[in-house]
Amino acid sequence: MLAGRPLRDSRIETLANGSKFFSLLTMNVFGYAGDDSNPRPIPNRTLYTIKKKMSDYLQAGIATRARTDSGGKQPWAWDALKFAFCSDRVKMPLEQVIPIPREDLWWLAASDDLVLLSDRVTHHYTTVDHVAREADRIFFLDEWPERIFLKAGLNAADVAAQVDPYLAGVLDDAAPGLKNKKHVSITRDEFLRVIVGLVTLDTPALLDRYLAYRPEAKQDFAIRYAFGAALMDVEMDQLAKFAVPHLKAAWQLAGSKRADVNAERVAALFYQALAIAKFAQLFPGEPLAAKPFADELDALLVKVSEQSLLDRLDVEELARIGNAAGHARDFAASLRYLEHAVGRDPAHDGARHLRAMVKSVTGNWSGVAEDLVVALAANAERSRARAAERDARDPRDRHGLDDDKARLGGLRGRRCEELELLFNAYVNLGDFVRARATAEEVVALEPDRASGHRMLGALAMQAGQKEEARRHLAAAREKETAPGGRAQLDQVLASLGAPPAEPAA
Amino acid sequence: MDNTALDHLRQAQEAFDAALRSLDDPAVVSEDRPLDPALVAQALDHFSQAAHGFAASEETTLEAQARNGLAEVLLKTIGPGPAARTQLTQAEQSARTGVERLDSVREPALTLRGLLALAKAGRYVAELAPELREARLITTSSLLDGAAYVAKELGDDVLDARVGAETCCVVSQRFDGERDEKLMDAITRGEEAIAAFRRAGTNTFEQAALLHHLGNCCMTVAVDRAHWLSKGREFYREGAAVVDARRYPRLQRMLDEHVAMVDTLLQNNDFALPDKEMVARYGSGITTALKDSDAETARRLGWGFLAWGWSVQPNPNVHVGEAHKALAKVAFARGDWDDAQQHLYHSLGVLSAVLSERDRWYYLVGEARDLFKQAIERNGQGASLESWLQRAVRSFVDGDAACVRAARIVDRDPAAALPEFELALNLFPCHPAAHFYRGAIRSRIGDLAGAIADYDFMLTLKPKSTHTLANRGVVKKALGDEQGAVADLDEALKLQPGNPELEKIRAEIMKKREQGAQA
Repeated sequence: MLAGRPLRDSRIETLANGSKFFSLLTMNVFGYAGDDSNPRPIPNRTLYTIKKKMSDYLQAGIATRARTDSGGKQPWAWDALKFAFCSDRVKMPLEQVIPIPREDLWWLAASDDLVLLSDRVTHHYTTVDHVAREADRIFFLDEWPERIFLKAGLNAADVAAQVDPYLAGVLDDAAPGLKNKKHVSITRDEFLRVIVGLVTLDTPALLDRYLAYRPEAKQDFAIRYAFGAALMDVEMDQLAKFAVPHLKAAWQLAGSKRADVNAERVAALFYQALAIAKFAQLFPGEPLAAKPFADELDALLVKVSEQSLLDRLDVEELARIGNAAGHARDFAASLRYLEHAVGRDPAHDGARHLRAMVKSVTGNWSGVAEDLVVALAANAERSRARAAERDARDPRDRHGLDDDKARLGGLRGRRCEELELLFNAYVNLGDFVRARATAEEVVALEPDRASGHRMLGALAMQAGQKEEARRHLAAAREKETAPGGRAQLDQVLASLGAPPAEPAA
Repeated sequence: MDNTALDHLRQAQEAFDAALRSLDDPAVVSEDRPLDPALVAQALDHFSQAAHGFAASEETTLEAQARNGLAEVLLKTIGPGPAARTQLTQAEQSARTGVERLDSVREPALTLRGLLALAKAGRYVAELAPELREARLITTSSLLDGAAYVAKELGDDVLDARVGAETCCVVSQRFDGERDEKLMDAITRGEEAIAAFRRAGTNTFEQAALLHHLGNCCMTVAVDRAHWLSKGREFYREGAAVVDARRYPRLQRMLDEHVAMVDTLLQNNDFALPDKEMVARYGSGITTALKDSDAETARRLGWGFLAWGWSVQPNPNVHVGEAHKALAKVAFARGDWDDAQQHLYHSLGVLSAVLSERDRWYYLVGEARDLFKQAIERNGQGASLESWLQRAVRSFVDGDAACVRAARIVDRDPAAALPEFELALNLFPCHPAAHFYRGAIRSRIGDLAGAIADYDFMLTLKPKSTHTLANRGVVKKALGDEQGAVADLDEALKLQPGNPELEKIRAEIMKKREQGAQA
């Protein structure tokens, strides 16, 4: 058997090393929460919620990177994602965490993984520095290494961690920032006594490597289902094709298996993966690229009624298929899925927004407006609720506050997108009063967003107010970040007789 | 069951197998050996008749089998010349119809054969039709993603490896998005395919060919060059170790040569990307920027292309001409016909100087000429088209001759050299050496602003010219811009660390600066 998981893609290793360095820098920087005279309650976090949050950061980082100039970008693996694994002795939902034999967590552990360790009394998250497999020892970078419960006498698992200067202090002179940094290490046996689970970064190939390492897992329903669910959970449509074989295997295993397996739900997730894989494969414009998934889908529908599959998908899952179909420009299919989603939850912000986008393609502007009015009301409600959550949060919960900020920003961004589309609907319906109010709301919400100014400019042009149009469009030009958008605004401004804008430095 | 069609299918497969078997003789060299034309003709004829027969009797699986066979024979026998496109179209159509007829769940192996044939056809089309290249590579990648799923379901290592190898080849040719990412994706897929070939323990030729390709991919990764060159060498070495040298001597020789080449590159710390890769990166970057209406970026890349062109020996070269052409295309996109005309004038001048009619790249001259004509006509100068063309074609040769004449006398008689340099720049305004020398003369006669302008332009064309940086530093100092002067000298010293002459000039500037500060 292999001593450990094979080295990851070099791009992932580079990122892992970078984040590890960050863990090193934050060591002993923040106060130990337990030292507070009135310690805040421990937030309710699981391997899954942490994985979700890490995935969100990863996706946000990728999105930002895609928007920025290409100069100096480090190459990135498009299919990298976070996986959460746990010992199969722990009962966690298969759609959240992948259960594997506890000893396989040793095979799996890699640099920069977040691990959950527990002696059944204390539960603690920390970061893997590296695994010295030949020496049977694993090293951690902990925020408070001297306080770690793994030290002898501080745990009920008979673990006696060593706490040593980082890299034996050899970098003290070369990198003064690393002076006084320490790592914690325990043996393989100790690790297996306390490990509960881990969150790791890799590509879908990790799952194939794991199956090659432990072939009997190919016939393990829980593992195959959790593999498929993990690949779907990250919400990257391009990964659905990798989820399909695992969910197909899980579905086949579920049929002949335990009474506690919800085979219909498994079939529904398999259906969702197939539908998304099919649409994602259609996107580049080669219909035969989608055929293997389309044929699988047909084969599934011979055995299970589509309605029963749709009934077992939640509104987000239905909306996601609708979105994938829309991207593939199959608007009829997209509308069908979104009708199901909206039927399930008529006030669902995302489903309404997506349906409005599809309706806009077909020119159904009153339908667009109708959906967006509901979506905007839902958005406002969610924003209010999240703001209340933020206001009630203990100010020492910095991770929670960061999350609040990101979520509220996301909701605001979504609101602006919905308003932009609503503006188009009102203009197409000839309702310029409402269109103006919509544009003004965008400007008020995000003054640095070009679109609000652009919309006001368009309204002024429509009303023949040249000077007013010039003013708004010049503001839009100043704030526009997309080169194509800037070029287009330059043209419009030139047609209005405005002097050309200074080229970007 | 249509027995006649079945008989055709059997005969076709036998003929094709016999043709392929003749290449399997371990005692003979297999490379570049064509398939027996008589057997190929038989296979084509029988596959075609079988396909029609099964289509008529609606036996879809057998029809697909015949169509796949037809496509495979056509793809195995594609030669050079215009017939290749027709043959490719036939192959693609045949494979496409075959796959369409199949249910991939019930007939995965046959579907996979068809998808692989389609992918191969797509890759050939991308090679033969540059205008379709990127689009075809993207759709072919998606086909292979579908094929990868089918191969996995079949659980056959060799088939999985073949899909991986094909994916590696296709993705490595893509320039959409981030180039290095595509190369690394290709390498990852290729490495997985090699592992599958190893597990299968057969197909050493395919393995060696893929290792060769993987080495080539590593040679073109821009980041962390030392790492990727070393990795590429490992692939070449492994390929050389697995290839059957008796049957594939050319591949063996190439792999050995590449190992030696990487050794030399690493020894010399030569981390420059291959010329072909640089040209493709600039070309695709400019195309993408123009597609995104990002003329600023396109222009920046165009000037970067030109500077890179001037950095490649010999000077000038075809890349300089092509970079001017690219800049002209950017100007066209911006509607700036004057600028386009200027660049095409330069393009035509350089390309005419460096390419002869016998050269395989001579068509580039024709392309420049056609574009130049368009620009002249757009600028309303169509009446003087011929004289413009004559002047442009001779522009670099005549300008360079004037520059060489002047350079011979510049030290002893700068006053006599100046008009010659002026002439050189009049004939070929983007001549780097003429700018450099004129800048030096201007500096000597006290036209410091003129000298700076010349050096600035020279550095746009040759940003790594240490002499120009040093000279500009001296002029900046004379103009009182000591900070700018030190910056130029620092830049020059970065390019030539420890150069005593540069250090001496910098020390003098620093000394005067300190004296000034003390005073």
